[in-house]
Amino acid sequence: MRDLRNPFRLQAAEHIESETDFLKLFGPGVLDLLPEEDPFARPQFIRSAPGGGKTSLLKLFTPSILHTLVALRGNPDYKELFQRVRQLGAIDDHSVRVVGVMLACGRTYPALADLGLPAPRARRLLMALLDARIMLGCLKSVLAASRLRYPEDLGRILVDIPSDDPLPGLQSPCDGNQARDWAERLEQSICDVIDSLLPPVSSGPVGHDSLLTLQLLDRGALRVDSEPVVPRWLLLLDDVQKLTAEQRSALRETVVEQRSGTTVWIAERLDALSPEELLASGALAGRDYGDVINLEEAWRRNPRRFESAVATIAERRARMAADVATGDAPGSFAAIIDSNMDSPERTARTQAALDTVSRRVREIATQNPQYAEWVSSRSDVEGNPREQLVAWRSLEIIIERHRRKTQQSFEFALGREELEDKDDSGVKSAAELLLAKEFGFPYYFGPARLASLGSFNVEQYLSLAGDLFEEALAAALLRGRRGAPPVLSPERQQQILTDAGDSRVNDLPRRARNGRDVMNFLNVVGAFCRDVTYQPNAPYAPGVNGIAISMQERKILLDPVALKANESYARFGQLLATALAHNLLHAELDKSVKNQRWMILYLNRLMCLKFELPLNFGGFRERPLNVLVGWMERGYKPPRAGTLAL
Amino acid sequence: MIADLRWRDYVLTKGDAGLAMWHTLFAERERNVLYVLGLGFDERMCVGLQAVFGAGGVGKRDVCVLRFEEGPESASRSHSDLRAANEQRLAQLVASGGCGLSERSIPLVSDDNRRIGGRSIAKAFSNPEDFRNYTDVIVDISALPRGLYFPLIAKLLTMFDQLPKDGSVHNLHVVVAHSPTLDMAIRDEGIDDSATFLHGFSAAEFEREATREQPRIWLPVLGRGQQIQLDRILTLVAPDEICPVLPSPAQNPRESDDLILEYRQVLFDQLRVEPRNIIYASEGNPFEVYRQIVRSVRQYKRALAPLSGCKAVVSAMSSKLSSLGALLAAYELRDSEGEDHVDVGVAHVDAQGYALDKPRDGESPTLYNLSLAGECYADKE
Repeated sequence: MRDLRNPFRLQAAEHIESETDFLKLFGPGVLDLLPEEDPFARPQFIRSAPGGGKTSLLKLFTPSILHTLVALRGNPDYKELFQRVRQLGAIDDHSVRVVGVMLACGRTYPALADLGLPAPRARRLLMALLDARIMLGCLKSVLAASRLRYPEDLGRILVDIPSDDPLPGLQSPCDGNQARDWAERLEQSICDVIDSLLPPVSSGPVGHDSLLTLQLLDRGALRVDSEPVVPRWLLLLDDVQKLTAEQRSALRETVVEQRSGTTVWIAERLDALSPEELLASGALAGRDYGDVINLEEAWRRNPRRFESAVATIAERRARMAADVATGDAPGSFAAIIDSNMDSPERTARTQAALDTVSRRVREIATQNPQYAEWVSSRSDVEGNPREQLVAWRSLEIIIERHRRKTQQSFEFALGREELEDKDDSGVKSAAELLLAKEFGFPYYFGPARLASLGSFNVEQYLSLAGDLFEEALAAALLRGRRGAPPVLSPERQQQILTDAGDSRVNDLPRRARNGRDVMNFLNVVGAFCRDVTYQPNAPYAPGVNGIAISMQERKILLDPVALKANESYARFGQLLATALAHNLLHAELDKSVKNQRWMILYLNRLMCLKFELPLNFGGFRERPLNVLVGWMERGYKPPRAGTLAL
Repeated sequence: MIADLRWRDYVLTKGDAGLAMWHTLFAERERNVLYVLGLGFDERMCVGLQAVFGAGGVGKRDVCVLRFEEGPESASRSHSDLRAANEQRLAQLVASGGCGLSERSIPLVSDDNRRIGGRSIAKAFSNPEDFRNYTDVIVDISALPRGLYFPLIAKLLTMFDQLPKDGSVHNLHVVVAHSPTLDMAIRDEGIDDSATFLHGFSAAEFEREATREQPRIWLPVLGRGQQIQLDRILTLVAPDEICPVLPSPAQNPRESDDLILEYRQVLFDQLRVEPRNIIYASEGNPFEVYRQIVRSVRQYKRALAPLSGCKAVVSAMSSKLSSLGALLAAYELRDSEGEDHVDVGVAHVDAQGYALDKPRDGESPTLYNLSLAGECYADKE
């Protein structure tokens, strides 16, 4: 690989030139999201927002990558990945067990729909073009899997098709060269139809009824040196979202109906799905399919796994910079991220804040003696100044909550046990957030919060980590080789991440269709969540960073008749679809709250940074659909009272 | 030996010299002129029409207006007043000139939200008989989006090249009202998530699986504020070698430096472009852009002959004037035969609409005229 200054800018692993470098940068954590038991047994649907890592996942199972991994099995840098892939059954200690054939579906197929051909003919041409490309892919992949060269060793392939399953135009038996020529001619003839500036009505091939090459593979018609192909075939279709809706349906139906022995994995971006499909995510699960793996959702179910996975990726990239650079680059990403808020230079600020808050709370107790015991318990708290500060602020929140609830005219003294019951982790987290706001302490820093800000999207994480690494590179360059490696303070981390978040949001009108609507709506939701979060009693500790629509009202957004009758609802549905597809909102369906079912829409974590919201999940407010539509059309007016007075 | 360039000798005029050219041309003899232009919000829309039809002369003067709708959510809708003003101005010019007026409606997006503008406009101009009665067809791209004028000009060039050489006069010209200041004031909004290869060039041929291993050379003609487009086209093209084309000389002498700074991260950190790959071509001369691109691609083709040659991708991400150079290069490379033929795609990413900032000064646009086919190239034919 050519000299690389900031490897975090190499965002798309699929564009990395060499197999070794691809494997070096591939984080094995994503493999945990695949089904544990024989993931190659049934079709899999892999979905995510842009940058989620689908293409890299598919590329891993191509023969040249797997061969390289087997060859590197003894190298400590690749050991973990080797073991994981071996566990999945794709390789063993010496050979490749799966022959992956990767096809990008963005190439050419959608243009077939624009030729003005009758639907059956367009479908036949689609199948024929897929067949031609699958054949070419199989020839290349089987030679790679056998460690032979393409096209020099095509003569060593025998294609022996059963007589009742002919491929139109291909004589059987034939060798790999003839099969290649057949596929190239077929592909060329269809491409000529597409590129022609003349009307295509009667030109071009007849086409195929189904994916004939899959049947060929099922029957073991491809042999190398007269031996059957031992590894299992795995067809990897990427970017399926680029097909038209009819083409995607045709492909799914064909893959399912044919019940081919060849496993097919289909990767598509979330933005492919129609608004109806996006809002109804999960509709595909069923006995005919393997899992529908939504990468971001899968990460959300286990945030620590995501944190670990991206931390590994970050370390690998930092190490790569150190390996190729002149020696100034930091060799570890974790080392440049300072998470320590208890350093001596911060103690004075923390102590000052502690004095302020404790004085405030004591004054409340002076006027309300029932809290005296609670206050006294805080005076006994041990720990460093920051821990004591959080404890006092938590107490302030709990007192405020109690005062709002209590209607009694007698005030009994409240005991320490009652305080302990109320002082949970949510309150402590809310206290930390409110303190950061009040005293200007940094909140968004450190490896865990950086992973959270990635919003379960690898590309988003790498973009943010890349900004931090860029700063460290600059500091290292200025410092030279003398002195300790650069470390970014919590304050500086927060500033860099805030700037990154701002530019990403402000760029939305350009980046996405309906981008302006989406940006305005996200700003409104953010402002609303901030108002709810920053109340003195922190009612939804640690805070709110999402909204919820009832499942009943969600049905309106899926009903074409209702949408046609109401333009505002249709526009809102489109807005939500764009926001979901671009990972700006995350949806959780069918959550039960107060005996009702809800679709929760959480803000992308980067939006949480912009509005100073917590990064947890679980904090949301239910809102009627007409209110949300009103926000979209007229904006949001904060309530007169309710924000924390500082 | 590298084949001669089709437009090695070219006709390019601008400003007052351009106006003089039209006067001379129309004074020579009777000329029947068809003026094709798009209906949009760009204030430059009628500049060319007014200048050209104001040059006098005898003969038919017809106007063909291309109407295209960008969709209900397009940011361009906020400039409907400017578009209406342009339409009114157009009506006045047509009426005062006694011109014939026709319209063609160009759907940009299919029912399922796919981009079909390129095919639509090529289909709208599919009958050569439509041009037989005109000596001069002028295409004004001032208010046309790139996704439309690229396939339109490619289609017209193809049709003109296929007209019988029977001595009849058929000239194809392109005009554009050029203003870098106004170009910078117009921003794409709602950029499509994916780039595509434009129809009219070797889109499907380029994407063939059979030739996937052939090296891909990408020549983006860079302009300001195209970071998002650059990223999306990069995802589509996945090039093996990149040769950015920068404007020099340019109205702003530091324009190429500013572009390098703007795209520093993607060019040098992400793509690791070799600085010596950068190509410089005059901002004000699309034929120089064309020449530089064609020669570079042909040299790559020769150098990579042991690897079965290469494919080329051109992306026009700058002013319309420079973009024309990219278009001509793509057309010539596609149409060359034998060892000079190169599979070439034009990678492009559309937008839902455009936002208009107020231009910083009241710079008047300069009208540029390019002659692409016809009498002035008769010797070559």
